Amino acid sequence: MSDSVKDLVLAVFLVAFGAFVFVDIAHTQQAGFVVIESVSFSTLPSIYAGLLVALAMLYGANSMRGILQARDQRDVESGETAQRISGTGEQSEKIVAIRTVGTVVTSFVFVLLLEYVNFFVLTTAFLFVMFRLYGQKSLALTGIVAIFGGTAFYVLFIVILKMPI
Amino acid sequence: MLHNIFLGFGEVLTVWNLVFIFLGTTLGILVGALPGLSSPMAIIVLLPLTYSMETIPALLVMMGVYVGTKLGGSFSAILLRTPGTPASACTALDGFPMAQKGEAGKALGYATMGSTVGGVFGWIIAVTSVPLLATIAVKSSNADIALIGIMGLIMVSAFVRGSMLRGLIGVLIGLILGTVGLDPMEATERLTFGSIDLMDGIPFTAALIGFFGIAVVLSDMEMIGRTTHVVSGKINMALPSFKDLARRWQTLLIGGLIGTGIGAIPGVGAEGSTWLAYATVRNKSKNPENFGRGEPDGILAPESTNNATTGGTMVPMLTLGIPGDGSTAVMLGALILHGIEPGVMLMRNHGDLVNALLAGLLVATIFMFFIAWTAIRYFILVLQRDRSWLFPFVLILATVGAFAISNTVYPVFVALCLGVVGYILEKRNFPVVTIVLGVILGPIIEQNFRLALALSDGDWTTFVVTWPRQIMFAGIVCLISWEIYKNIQAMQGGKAKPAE
Repeated sequence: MSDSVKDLVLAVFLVAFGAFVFVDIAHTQQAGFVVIESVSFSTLPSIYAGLLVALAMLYGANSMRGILQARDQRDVESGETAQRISGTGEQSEKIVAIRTVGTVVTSFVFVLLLEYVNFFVLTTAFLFVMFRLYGQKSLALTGIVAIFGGTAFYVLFIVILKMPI
Repeated sequence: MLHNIFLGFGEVLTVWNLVFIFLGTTLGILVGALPGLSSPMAIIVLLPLTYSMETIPALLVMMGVYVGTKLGGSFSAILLRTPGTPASACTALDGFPMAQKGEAGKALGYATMGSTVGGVFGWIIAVTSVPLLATIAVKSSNADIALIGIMGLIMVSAFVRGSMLRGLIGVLIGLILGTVGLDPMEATERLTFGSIDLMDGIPFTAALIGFFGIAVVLSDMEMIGRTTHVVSGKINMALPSFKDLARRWQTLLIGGLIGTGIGAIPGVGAEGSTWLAYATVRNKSKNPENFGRGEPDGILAPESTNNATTGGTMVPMLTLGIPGDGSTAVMLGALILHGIEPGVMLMRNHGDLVNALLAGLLVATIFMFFIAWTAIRYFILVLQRDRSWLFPFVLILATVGAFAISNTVYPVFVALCLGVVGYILEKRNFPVVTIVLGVILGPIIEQNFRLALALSDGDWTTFVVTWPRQIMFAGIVCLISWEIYKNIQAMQGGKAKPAE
């Protein structure tokens, strides 16, 4: 996916987000404590949402123009060359994408289990999984560093700082 | 004024506080030297460790990190041609060619001296202007504060990396996030979707952790597995002589002035100021052709600017409660976590804290000089390390930091979600600092804006009734008009993406 297409997708999301906020604020019921003033609870959020929609549309229009310009200038031969060259780049992009998604998913699981699993066990497991995800090959070294890290965090946060994790 | 400074030093010059500043500064240089890690991220990582500390020592550690990262970024810029921080990107232009010529030690020496002189310059400006401006700030009305906030947001949109369009969109996202929760004046629920947790609004510290901690780790995934090699072998720092520095006083002065001035603009920080100082010094130079080929002035200018911003950013933070950059935003968050409300009353209510922070700024700058001078070889060792060992630790510290806000997992989920949002926006070149500033300044602007209108019986001319307000209003209009004009010019010139 080209940069302009990514920009356009993001612009659509931003327009949708702004429109959603605008509509939600417009349908919000005012609380019982009514204060008479020229600017109410909904004025500024509505302005922010309206401006966001307008600017995101401008951003989208620019992206669209970028897509159209790129299409006009596209040379089939140079496109094929670029595809051949980007072979190894795509490979590393895939690894980065896997690591990024893996980090988000592992972190969510870590947080979900935070209240249920022993902190030392959880941090050790988290560190181990993350080291492996980030390409560390040696099981022994990864395990030792994970246990060492888990112990250090446990001592610091539970024993010394007495945090109720 | 002098009395207050001495009081501040009296507070700071205890063994433990000095140890904390020393540790913070060392960590700051390390973090700054590692490309991809930033000062706000390092301060966020420290949050869970500083919760149980007294306010002043906690803030002093953060101050040390803040100052240290400014110099640390130049090490990797000079030795790897990869700036450790965005602000030190400019240093690579002349630092790296010097290192290639076998003068890496000399280049590091210029960077260290430039940073130290700039830092001291910024400190002098901060120490002289903060008490004065704090006195004026106390007298400012709701309309003044609202206008300062709006101007800060417009300025940060205009000056940050990328386009103003992206900056403004970032600010608006932040402003919308800032409206989540109970409306401060009518207690109406806004964007809460019935959630009790959301009634208190988006936890400010969780937003910081998400945008500056988790988003940065996700953005830097490409760095994992990469090993780097410094351009020179054994390196010993060679500090420039006093005579050499005295000959370059104009460069240092320009750097100091630009750094402090731009640092004092809410939200702008060091990133843009180093390029401005570099261009100014090159234009004034008798030998502009030497720039980019290893000219010492090309290192001194950005480095003195970079560290001078530390003093500049203290001015809006300590007088108005408005952060000068991402790091001071996190420090403001730390202040709130310690039960201290930043704002115009900070100097009056917590003068000891303000004085201690200002004293700590100078002490950290001096420590930075000696640490860099004596331990440069150890920092160079760290430069070549792989990030895969580091990022999991950063993630755990960020998670625990978010958890400690209310000892529940809710802020951690908020941090994670905003981290993903920040990552997506960062990938599309949206500067996340604009979102953070929107989150911080949004409630301040709204509250003061509405109070100003309520106090003037709904009269909108209250925003232009005094000359300072007229100047601020004119400034806002000029900035927006200038950006529109630039876009029209670019469109007429046939550029591909005028608003980009």
